[in-house]
Amino acid sequence: MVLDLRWRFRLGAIAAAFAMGGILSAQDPSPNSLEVPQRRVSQRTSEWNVLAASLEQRVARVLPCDSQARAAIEEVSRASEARTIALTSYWTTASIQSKTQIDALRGFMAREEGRAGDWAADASEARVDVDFAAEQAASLAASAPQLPALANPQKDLEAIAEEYRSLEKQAQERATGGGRLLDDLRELLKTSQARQSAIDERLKTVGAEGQRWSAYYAARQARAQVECALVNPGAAVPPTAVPPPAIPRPAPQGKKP
Amino acid sequence: MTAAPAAFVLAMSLVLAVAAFAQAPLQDGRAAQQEAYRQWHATDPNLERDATSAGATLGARADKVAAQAAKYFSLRKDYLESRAADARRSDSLLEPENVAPDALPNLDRFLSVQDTILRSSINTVAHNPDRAIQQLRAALERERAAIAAIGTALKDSQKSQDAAVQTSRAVEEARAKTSEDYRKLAAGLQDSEQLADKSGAAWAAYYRALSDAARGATAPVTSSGPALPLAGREPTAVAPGTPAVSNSAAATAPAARPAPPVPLVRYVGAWTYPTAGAHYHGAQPESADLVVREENGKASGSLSARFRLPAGSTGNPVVRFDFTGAFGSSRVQRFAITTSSGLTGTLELIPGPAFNLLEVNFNIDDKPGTIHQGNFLLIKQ
Repeated sequence: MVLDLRWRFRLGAIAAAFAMGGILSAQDPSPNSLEVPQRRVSQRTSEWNVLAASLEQRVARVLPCDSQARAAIEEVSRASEARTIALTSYWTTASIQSKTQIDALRGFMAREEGRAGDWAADASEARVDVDFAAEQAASLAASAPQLPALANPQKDLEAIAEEYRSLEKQAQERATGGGRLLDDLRELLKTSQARQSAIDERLKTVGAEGQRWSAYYAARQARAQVECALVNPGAAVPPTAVPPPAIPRPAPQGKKP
Repeated sequence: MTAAPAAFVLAMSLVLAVAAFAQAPLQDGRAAQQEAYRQWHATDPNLERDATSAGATLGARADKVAAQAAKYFSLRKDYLESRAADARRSDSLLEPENVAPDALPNLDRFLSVQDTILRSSINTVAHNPDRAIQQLRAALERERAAIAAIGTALKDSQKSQDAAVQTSRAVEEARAKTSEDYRKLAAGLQDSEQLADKSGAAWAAYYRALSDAARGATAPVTSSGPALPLAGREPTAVAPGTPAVSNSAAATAPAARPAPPVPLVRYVGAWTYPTAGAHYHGAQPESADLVVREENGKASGSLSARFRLPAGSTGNPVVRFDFTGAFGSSRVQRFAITTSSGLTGTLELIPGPAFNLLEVNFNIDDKPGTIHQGNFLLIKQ
């Protein structure tokens, strides 16, 4: 319970830091804002790895009550927490971006749905234009015998009708493309929502893993205190309370759970 | 502290951009161009049908329709351009979000070794009844349980990370497709915009050609003398190589005096610019008064007109000139003119579609700040 509260407090502090930073760092444009937290995660993980791998060796070299043993465990524990904070920062950033994109996508979807009719209307209007130009050309063609000079505007109209055919083709392609765009936006929204769920789940597991490592280092520190008390009862600092492990242990055989 | 705020800023920018976007008055643009289209087609639906009969008035009618067509194509171009810009903006807002997996260290061996050591230590002290040793055993067991819990948490971490990476890949694939859709849409709209622009120019040329063709119907092809092209129009009024009549005084001889194909009364008299239902081409008159006299086959007269100038213009809106010359055999009578300020030019008088209408078309030497062209219909007083 104590650890839970500690973690909640830490994550709350991280969220507050994000909000403060949002105000302060408007002049810090980053082409891909996940790059910086990504680098920090790699750095913190590497630092923790080095310390964790050598912890038992460092503790074994000193006497049980040597303060270096306690300091070594605390150092690894802090490195582990720093890594967890870096991971939380990374996935929180990813989550903010993802949510914003989903909101934007919903806006795009609504707009494109509203325009679906426009593309179809454009195509049918283009058809009407083709017919209109062709009719006018035919009308002038009928008058051409009476007034030969009408041959020029008639040719102009035929050229316009040809351009209108191209416009009609483009409008039809747009109507088809508009439908495809809407389908692809729907798919993008669906996959983005799935990613959002995955990111949120990842944030939870990062928090849970951090708690487990903290619990482990607390247990390791507690054992070091007990070992110190064994050899020098007067020198040992009373061990701090260690929370029960999150995963229940199997009950010893022969006893009721 | 920099990455998350940057994301915050990016996110807010995106939200603001999308919000601004949603308010773009594209629908209004579409409605406006549809209304302009309707007006264009409704302005003069009989224009083409009347091409062979309307004669000189067709030019003014065609001008009106051409103005409506130009308005429509201008709005149409704006509409297509705004939609193309819209699609380009949408594409730019669909930025990829590269969710990279955080490097999960392989801790299986570490956990396994720790578990083995702890189990062994627990077994070693398991049967020792000493209270302090039992405390150590309890501490070892708690530590071992913590190691086991980490193993479970790591499996969950790996699973959630795989899911995040996998879904991110799916998003990126869908995003690339959508982005391509937007790019195609923008390119298509841009093509249509260019084609619409071209069509607008083609319609303008068409109306000009139609007007010229109709005017050609009023000019007989059997006249003599040099052809005078009409202001701003293709020289189709008179067939190429078939000169029009010259009305210069020197060219006329009483013995061979040609007569106009219409009664002189169609030219002679006092004419004025109508206050309602006026037709003009080019500069818009505010008022115009023309007097044409005839004496022994010779014409003389004067024109006084005031034109509407563009706002802010400091030019002289008034045109006054006298003319004289012999009537020719052509329907279109041409006379040399001299203005009050000494400029010279040409005046054409063309009988209108009705008995009491006369089309005036003049050209004067170009001098800055003066009206040098005019074309309008006058009504007999």
